[in-house]
Amino acid sequence: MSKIPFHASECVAAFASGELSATEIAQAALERIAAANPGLNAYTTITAERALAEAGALDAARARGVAPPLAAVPYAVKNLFDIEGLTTLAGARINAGNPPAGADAPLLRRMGEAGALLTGALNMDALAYGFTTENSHYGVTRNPRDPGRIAGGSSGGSGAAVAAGLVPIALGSDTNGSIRVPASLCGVFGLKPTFSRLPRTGSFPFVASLDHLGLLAASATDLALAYDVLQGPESADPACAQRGVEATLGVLERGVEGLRIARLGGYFDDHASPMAQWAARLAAATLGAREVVELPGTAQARAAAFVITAAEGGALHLAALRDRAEDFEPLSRERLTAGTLVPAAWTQRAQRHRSWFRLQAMALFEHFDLLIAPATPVTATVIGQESFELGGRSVPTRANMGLLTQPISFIGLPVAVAPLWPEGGLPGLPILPIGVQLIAPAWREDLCLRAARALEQASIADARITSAAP
Amino acid sequence: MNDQNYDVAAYVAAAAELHGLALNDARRAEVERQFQLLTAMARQFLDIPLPAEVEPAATFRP
Repeated sequence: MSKIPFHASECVAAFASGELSATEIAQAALERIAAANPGLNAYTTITAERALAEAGALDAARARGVAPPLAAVPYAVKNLFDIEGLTTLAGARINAGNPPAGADAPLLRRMGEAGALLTGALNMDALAYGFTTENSHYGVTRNPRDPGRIAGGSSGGSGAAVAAGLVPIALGSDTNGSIRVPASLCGVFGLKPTFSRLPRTGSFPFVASLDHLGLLAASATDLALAYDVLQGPESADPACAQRGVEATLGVLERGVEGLRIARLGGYFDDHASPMAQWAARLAAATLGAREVVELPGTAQARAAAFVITAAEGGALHLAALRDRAEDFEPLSRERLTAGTLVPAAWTQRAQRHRSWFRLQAMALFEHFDLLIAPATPVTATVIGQESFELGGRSVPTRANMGLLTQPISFIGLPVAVAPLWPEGGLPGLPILPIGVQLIAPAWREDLCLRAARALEQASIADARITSAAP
Repeated sequence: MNDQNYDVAAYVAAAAELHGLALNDARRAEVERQFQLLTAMARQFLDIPLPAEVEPAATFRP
């Protein structure tokens, strides 16, 4: 075998045809990780033994004619997912002394049953409260496109692991943008499914009102392939919508013909740099969006999500903030502490605004099937950069990288992110990607994924993974 | 929302005391800054009139 494939769809095909064993694919992934991770700090734990054991079992099963849908696909998970035998850190030293997880999270179980090979746990902002993966206790995760820049967050390890060509699929979580921001800044595909679609059991919580689980991947096809495996009811999770699988892979190539598509203007233009606006306009033109529409109440929705996040996140950690404040991530400790002081009347009002804002979005979706917006206001900032320029003003990086994602997750709409690549940068400097959000009505992940695939087929979106060759 | 005469330092001190949170001067100053940011955020949506039938979004399912 001369070349080990990287994309999930290629791994599945190579295994099914007998061209490669799962063990060979796992070994190649582990070699890539061992070579690149010291420079990137994407992984906090590498589960090489487990990946090889899963691969060995798969190779034995193939002898009996078994080839499950994600057979021999290496993947990794943000370290807030339970992995049997490991302590679930959620990026936080306050969790380091907790006992190891007794079982895998349901989403890992589903990946494993589908034949995927777990290569490890990935770095993140502490407690998922951040958009930069500058983790004071576990180190910063570097952006594979330019190691001097952030990978985004809070699923920064997930974005970096895929962008660097280590694994084609990484699971993450998204409360206010934590899948979409690293997908945008690292230049990979991402999917934040509808709120409550995927069970959260066995994952460390941040904001119960807003937490979503989802994934990042090397292509739209890989995204759909894994998303179809992750779906399904989970009786142990009372917050799960308990819907059956609504498969997307089979409709991925349908394109966007016949879909009514618009670009979101107003707030989404006002909070986007020229680069981000370029990305949304190019995606809109490519997908045949003719109208620019406004979503009323977006700025207030973002503010309400901000308040709920601080209040629920703070309340969850109040006892530890009282007793072990010195063990907290210094970059978010006081934000969490301030959150514990929020009056209940504010969060109640914010939750009512959420209901109202949902109605505004539903009214728009009477006229459109898909909405387009930039995923981040700017491309990846330099590690340690405290602020960036937006509309002639300097705004703090950590609070504002999620400006464009936060209002959308507030009402749980499904979103795929597709990475675009502005040309014409400064000579000698790497070209930095920026993502667009492809936003559909609740439960219509199929439309988001079809649009992402259409951008890929038009050669507009691409994860540009070049470091995968062994 | 009427926060013209509101004293963020006094509010933070009293509410932190209620929670039993001991804050040194540096932490207290940063918590006050963060709470002012939250107040600015809340100001954006607290006074928008909403019909009484718009209920808080909830996920509890008995």
